[in-house]
Amino acid sequence: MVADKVLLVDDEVAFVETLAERMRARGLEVDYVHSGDEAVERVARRSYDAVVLDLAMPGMDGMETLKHLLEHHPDLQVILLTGQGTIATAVEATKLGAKDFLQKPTDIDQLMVKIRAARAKRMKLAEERTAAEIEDILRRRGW
Amino acid sequence: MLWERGLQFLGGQTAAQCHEITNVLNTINEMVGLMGDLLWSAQHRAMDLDVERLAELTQKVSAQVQRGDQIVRAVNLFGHSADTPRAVFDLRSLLEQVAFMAQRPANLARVTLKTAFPQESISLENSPLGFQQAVFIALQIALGAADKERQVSLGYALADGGVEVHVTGADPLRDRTRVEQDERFLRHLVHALGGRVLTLMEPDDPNRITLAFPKHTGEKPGRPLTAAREDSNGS
Repeated sequence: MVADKVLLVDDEVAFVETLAERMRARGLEVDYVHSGDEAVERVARRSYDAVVLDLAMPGMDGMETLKHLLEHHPDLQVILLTGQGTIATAVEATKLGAKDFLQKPTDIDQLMVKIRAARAKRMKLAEERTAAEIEDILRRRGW
Repeated sequence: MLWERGLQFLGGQTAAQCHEITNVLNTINEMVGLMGDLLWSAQHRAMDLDVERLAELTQKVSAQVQRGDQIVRAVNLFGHSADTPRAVFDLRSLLEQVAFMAQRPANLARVTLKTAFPQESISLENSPLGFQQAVFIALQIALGAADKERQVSLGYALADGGVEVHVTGADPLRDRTRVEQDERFLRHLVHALGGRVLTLMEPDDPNRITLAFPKHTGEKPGRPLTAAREDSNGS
């Protein structure tokens, strides 16, 4: 079985390194970066099942990063994981297209459930897209 | 207006430092979680307990606790700086405190914040909270207009019977329309503290922002800030 590929984006180095180690121990393939700009660059080079994104970061903040990522990768499943979340932030993130919103401190089991759901959603979107493309080809050929 | 802005500063900084403490707690949460994972694997999967890894994690948790303690001490000192409108304080210590609080905004702005202080200790008598607010605003202005070196420095020197606080590393040609209000307020605040803004982003002055303060203000001597800092009742 192919491992879920996850990108963690958080500027708190010790936090993200430790979380990555815990997620790898649970069978996930995990990369991490410390800024929104690095996240944008990494997602452009590699496909991920989910991106777990912090809000307050140097340079491009979490909301800007979310907008940028979804503008260029509309199927990307982004989960916001933040220590300074409010209901207003969660609503704003959801309106922008975030898949989910979690508060720190992290409950790793809950995060794993969200990541698996994100992967399932991504696969479903990919299947729907493929089906639509096939249908389009068939229609253009008059079948 | 001064009172309102002072309260905003107090509240804003307290909230920002709470966020820093939250970062520490979240990191400890993950480290303790990882220790739990290692123990679980040893108990339920018959894996050897990685004692070295556990010892390493213990040290990392300890380092985070020390980091948290440093933040809590800074918040405590900062909170007590509002106890009295006028006090005698060590300039270097208070500037170190401001630089500590400005570290997060500096990181977010991707600017290295450095301090370059003389060895000599200088006592100043003024409003500790107002003084910190003035220096913090000066740093904020500089951080928002950091030049291509991306390094802002904070320093001070004795001058004309008082002190001058210098902030360097900002680009005076950067668009500052967003901070015009801050610049106006800084002049107003420094004046209220009995000081003067000597330079504020002048293109021909390498000390981009210079704030001058007298060593003493008012007629009656203020009480030392250290009495509030070394609070023995744990408040």
